[in-house]
Parts: sequence; C-alpha cells; structure tokens
Amino acid sequence: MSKKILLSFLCATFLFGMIQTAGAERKFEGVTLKWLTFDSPHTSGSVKKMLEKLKEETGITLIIETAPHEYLYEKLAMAGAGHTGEWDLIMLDITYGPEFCRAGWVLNLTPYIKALGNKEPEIIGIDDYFPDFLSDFKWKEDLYGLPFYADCQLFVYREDILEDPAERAAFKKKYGYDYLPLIQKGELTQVQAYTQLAPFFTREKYKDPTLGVVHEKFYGTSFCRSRDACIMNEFLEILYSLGGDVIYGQPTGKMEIPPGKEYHPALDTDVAIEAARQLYYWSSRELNISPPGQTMHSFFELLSLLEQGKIAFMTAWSICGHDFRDPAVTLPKLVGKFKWAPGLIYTGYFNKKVNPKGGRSCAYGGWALGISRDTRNPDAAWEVLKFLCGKKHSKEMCIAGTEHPRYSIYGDPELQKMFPWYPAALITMPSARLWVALPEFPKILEVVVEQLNAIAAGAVDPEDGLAIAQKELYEVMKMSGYIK
Amino acid sequence: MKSSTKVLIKITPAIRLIGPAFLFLLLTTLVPFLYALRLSFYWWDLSSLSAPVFVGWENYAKIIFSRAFMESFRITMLFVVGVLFSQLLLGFGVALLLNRDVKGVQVFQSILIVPMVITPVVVGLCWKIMFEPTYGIINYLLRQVGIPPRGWITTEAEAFLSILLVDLWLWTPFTALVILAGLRSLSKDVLESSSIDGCSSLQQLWYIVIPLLKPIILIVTLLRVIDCIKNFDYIFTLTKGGPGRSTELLSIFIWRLAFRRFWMGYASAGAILILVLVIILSRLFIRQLKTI
Repeated sequence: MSKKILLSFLCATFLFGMIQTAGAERKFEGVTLKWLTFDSPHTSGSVKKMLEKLKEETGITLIIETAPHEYLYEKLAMAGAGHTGEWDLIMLDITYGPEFCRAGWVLNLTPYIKALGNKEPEIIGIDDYFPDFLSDFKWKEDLYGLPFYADCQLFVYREDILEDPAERAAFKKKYGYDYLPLIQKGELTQVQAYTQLAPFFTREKYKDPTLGVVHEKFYGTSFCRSRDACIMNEFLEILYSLGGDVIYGQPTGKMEIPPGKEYHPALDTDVAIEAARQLYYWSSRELNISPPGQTMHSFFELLSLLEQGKIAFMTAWSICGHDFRDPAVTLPKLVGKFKWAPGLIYTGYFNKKVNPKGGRSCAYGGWALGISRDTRNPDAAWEVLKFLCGKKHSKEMCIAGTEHPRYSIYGDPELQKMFPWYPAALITMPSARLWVALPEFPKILEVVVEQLNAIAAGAVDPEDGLAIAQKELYEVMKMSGYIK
Repeated sequence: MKSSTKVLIKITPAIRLIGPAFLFLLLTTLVPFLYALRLSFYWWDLSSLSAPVFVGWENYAKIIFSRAFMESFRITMLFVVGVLFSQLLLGFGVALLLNRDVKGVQVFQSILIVPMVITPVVVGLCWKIMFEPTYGIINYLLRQVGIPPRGWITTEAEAFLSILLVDLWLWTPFTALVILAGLRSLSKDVLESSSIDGCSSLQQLWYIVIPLLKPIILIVTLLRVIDCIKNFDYIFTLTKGGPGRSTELLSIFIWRLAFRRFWMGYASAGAILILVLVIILSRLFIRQLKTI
C-alpha cells in the first residue's frame, strides 16, 4: 500500500513538474498583442512570415495593424499622449525616436536588458548594433527601442543599361573615362553622376534594351523633393557629405560649435547654402536629367520610376533591394536587372571651397521597436521584442525581409550572397549619421522642409529660403528651451 | 393646475424626444470648443514633459503677427475670392442651361451630383494622379492637341490654380443646383409679363432674375465661403500645402501646428481665430440678407 502511495506521489510530482515546465516555456499562452506599422515587405511583411514561429515559441498572438507611412507619426503620438494603450508595440522611426523616448510614450528597456545578465550578448547583442543607430533610441543613457531595421543611401542602377559595353565605350569617347569601375568602387562623385552620367542617359525615343518599349523620354535619374522627410533626406545626404550640420552641437554633429552657438541653427553657413544650391540644381528643369514633378514625389513615387523602367539610376535606400526583386512591385522583366554600389561622393560644385576633396555620408533610415508605456502586458511585449529584434532570430528576420543594423548581419557571407546590396551597405553605413537626433526633430523637420520644397520648386533662391528657415528654426529651438 | 405646470407637461415629451440628441450635440461640439478655447490661453507642447503653462493672449498675439499665419491667411482669402468668382459665374451658367424643358436634362442633373458624392480624399488622390506631369492624363491630352505639358501641382505658380480647378469641378454642381432650385421657384408670371412688355432675355436676367435670386445667391455664397475657409481634405491629399507654401490654407497651417509641432495651445488659438473669421463673415452676409 505504501509503495502504491509513494509511486502515485512520484507520478503526480513528475506530472506537476511537466505542466510547470510547459507553462514556463509558453507563459504567455493566449496573450494577444497589437502592433501598428506601415505595410511594406520590410516591416509588416517580414514579421508576418514569422508569426507562426513567434506563437510556437512564446504562445503570443501578434496582430499587425497598418497605416500609411506618412500618418504613423501622428497616430502613435496621439495614442501616446492620450494614454490609449491601443497598441502594445510601437514602431519608432529614426526621425521621431528621440521625441517618443523623452515624452515617455515608450517603456525603458534598460531594466529588461540588465535582467538578462550575462546572457544578454546571445539574446539581444547590444554591442553588435551600429552604435550611432542605437543611440537614436536612447534617452539619458537608457534604451527605449531595439533596432528593427536600418538602411542607408546606395547608388542603384540598371545593370542592362549601365553595364552595356557599347554604352560604356560611347561614354568613354565623350568624357574620357569609364564610369563603371568608379561606380563599383564607390568613387563616383555627384558631379560626374549628375553632369555627365545622367545627361548621357537622358534620351528621347529611347528603346529599352530589356523591356523592348520605346520611351518618349527616358531620364538618367530622378529625385524626391516632396515637402516631407523625403526632401530632408536628400538635403542631408548632400549636407552631411559636405561636412555640414543642421544644428550646431546636434548628436553626431561634425561642425565646430562657434562660442555661444550650441543648438543654434547652422543653415546660414557656406556648406548649408552649397547643399541647398545643389539640391535645387540637380533636379532643375535647367539641367533636365530627371522627370518633372519631383516637388510632389515622395520616396515611393521615386522608387516606382526605377521599378517601372523610366530612369537609369538613382540613390535609394538599401532596403529597397527587396522591392527590386519583387515582381509584384517591379516590372517582372526588370527583376534581377539592378545592381548596387556605395553612395555617391559629394564635393563642392558652386562653391569650390566647400569640401573640395569630397565626402560620402547620408542620414540613416530605419526603425526600432518599442513597448508602449500603456500596454497591459509589458512582459509579453518584451518577449515579442526579443523575438523580432534579438540575436536568436536575427538572421531569419533578415531573410524574411527586414535588415537588422548589426555588424554580424551585414558581414555574414551567406546573407551577402542572398542580398547583393549588403557589401555596398557595409561600406556606406559606417559613414551614415543620424538625422537631427533631438526630440524636437519633427518640429525642425516641419520648418526646414517647407523651405527646401520651395527651393526645389524654384520659388525661392536657396540662400533666401535657408535664411527664412534659419530664422524660424531659431524660434523653434528657443521655444523648446534649447536657446536661452 | 398652474399654467407653468401645464406648459411643462406639454413640453416634457418634446424634451424627452430631442433631449438625448441635443445632449450628444452639446457634448461633441460645445465641450470640445470650450476645451480648445481654454487651451488657446496656454502654451502646451504635447511631446514635452512639461505641463501646460498659462500665457494669456500671448498665443493669439504671436500667431496673428507670424509670417506663416499671414501668408496662409492671404492664400486662404485668395482661394475664397477665386472660388466664389468662378463658381458663381459657372454655377449660374449651368443652372440657366439646366432650367430648360429639354429632353434628357434630368440625366445631366444626376451626373452633376457625382463629384459631390465622391469622398474628398479620393478626389485628391485621383486628381493627384491626373495632374502628374509625366504620366498624368491631363498632360497626355494636352500633348495630343499640341499644347505643351504643364507642371500643375508641382510648380508654385500653377499649384494654386490647380486646387482652384479641383474645387471648381467639385463644388460648381452644388452652386448650380441651389441656383437652379431658386430659378425654378421664380414666378413664371413675372417673367411672362416682362416679355410682353418687351424685355429681352438679357434684360430679364439682369433686372428681374438676379435681383429675385439675391437671397439664394447670398446663401450659397455664405456656405461656400465657410467651406473654403475650412477646406482641408482634398487639398491636403493633393499638395500637402506645397510646393513651398503655395497652397497652405489656414486649415492646413493649423493642422501642422497641432499634429506636426504638437503646439496644442498655439494651434487652438489659430483655430479660434478661424472661427472668429467665419463668424464675422457670416454676420456680414446675414446682415445683407436681412436688408433684402
């Protein structure tokens, strides 16, 4: 009898232990979380492919809601300010990350990371991230978001057009050099690209070698100059490459701060005026290397010009490599016809004294994932964050479509083979800088893009436009308490 | 029974029936308005950690004298004048054409309503594609008849005219239908007797029809003025206020202050100023109406 009792007791203990273990592995069984993002292969698309695995490992069901990219900011800000807790996971854009961190609309992740102890490198791998990118999601040394994807500006071109031997020979005959090795080594300057290469490929009644159609007008390149982050991105690519800043003392700033001028706008400098002149000139009707209408083109319209075979090359976000291989967005005949190279080198053009040697930089693009301060289940949200951004599934996530800004990812030989733009990104990323990584950046953006758009439209002279922006930016920085 | 009690018994069912709707209206209009009015006297950056700070009339003083507000005000007034002038003329013309006993005229009347029932955001998106300089249908058709393509919403000069054109397409039918209703309500006897007296059609129009339609014209003008001042949806979708600030009406300017800069008190002051402007204009029109 006592043997039977002992055996029963042992079985019960064993069963109890099994249940506990199973429960501990999936302690969020039945938990449903919501995430707001925009619909693209790199964001919602990549995560959708991993939802089943996420549920298998954590028991969590993640509902993905999407909104157009340009409206995400105000939706998330209103939810944060209003304490609605509508979404558990927050998509932190690199442009408004600092603002959200300071406002406290996302949870401090530092305690969670510290709790991992010496398992942190294999679970999260903080040191594996590009440090500048990571710093955008920090506020006073605490981390509020884990990087989800990052990209930089690369030179993307139609392989079938630019690598055509006849085209190369004709160009060499006209200009005295072969452009292709310069492109591939990342030594092509913007002056060569926009005053020689683009005009060379801008043609009337051009027969597309792959599509077979005759374009009424085929252009060398195009730009996006719409009154939003797109034009700011293109301005920063030039400004940063020339060594300029928007605000003296901005994080990752390069300019020496004149005495008493910390956090003052720096748009009245030679380098800023040169950047604005170039911004106007490259997309002007005078130069005519790009289709009309760019003052209304956002990044997606610009991308579609290359995807639909209307231009020969452009600078594009590295993440768009996925789009160019997707027959759903790129003309099927053009899929596989694109190549990537490091971004252009920018030198002074109107003002030869501005950076005569030239430089290459751009603003990082990208996102982090954060946990809403008002979530009802922060621990479950942290599990999802670890899954989507952590080291364990990093490679799988990148294969699914996102791009974690990690040295291990861009340097992975298998991934480099799968995603041919990785080598070019690995060269360009280290020189990429943050946008103006201050919490006031959305306000700064509003003020500056208004004038940049007017400059690009030819409505105001670059120097005058920047003077207006300089004055209004000064007011913004003063109202925000940065300037006393 | 006291007369006051009798009155109360009489109106209590009415209160019970309309009370809930009235309360709902009060909560959804008066309460937010009072909140916005209160907020307009505070400086509050929604994205900062600091609480709202009472600043009195400072927001109003700052916004009235700001370059950006003045420019948006100028653009809005230009838009209002441009819209009124073109829509009244065109609307009147269309109404006169429809006010005939011609076979099939009702079909045209039905077609006329179509622009008004399309969602304004969809209107903005469709016109944006049509205005596209490279692949838009408008430039394509212009090229077919030998006219050089235009920049439309991509150049400062033409963007303003483009939004006027869209508004013309969208709301002329409304103006035409209201004026048509007015024309149909005119007494035929007056027109017949003027014909007998030797009045030409033009004289009839100028000396009889237009004066008789003055109240209707004033009402439709008032409604269009209010609409134009608060116009947002299709213009925002079409141009976002650009290029530069060429199409940034007051409504878009206030939206940017509130939802891009998150200066809620400042934006509330701007919104209250728009309300004041609308009230002043409405009072002027109503006063004119009373004199007729």
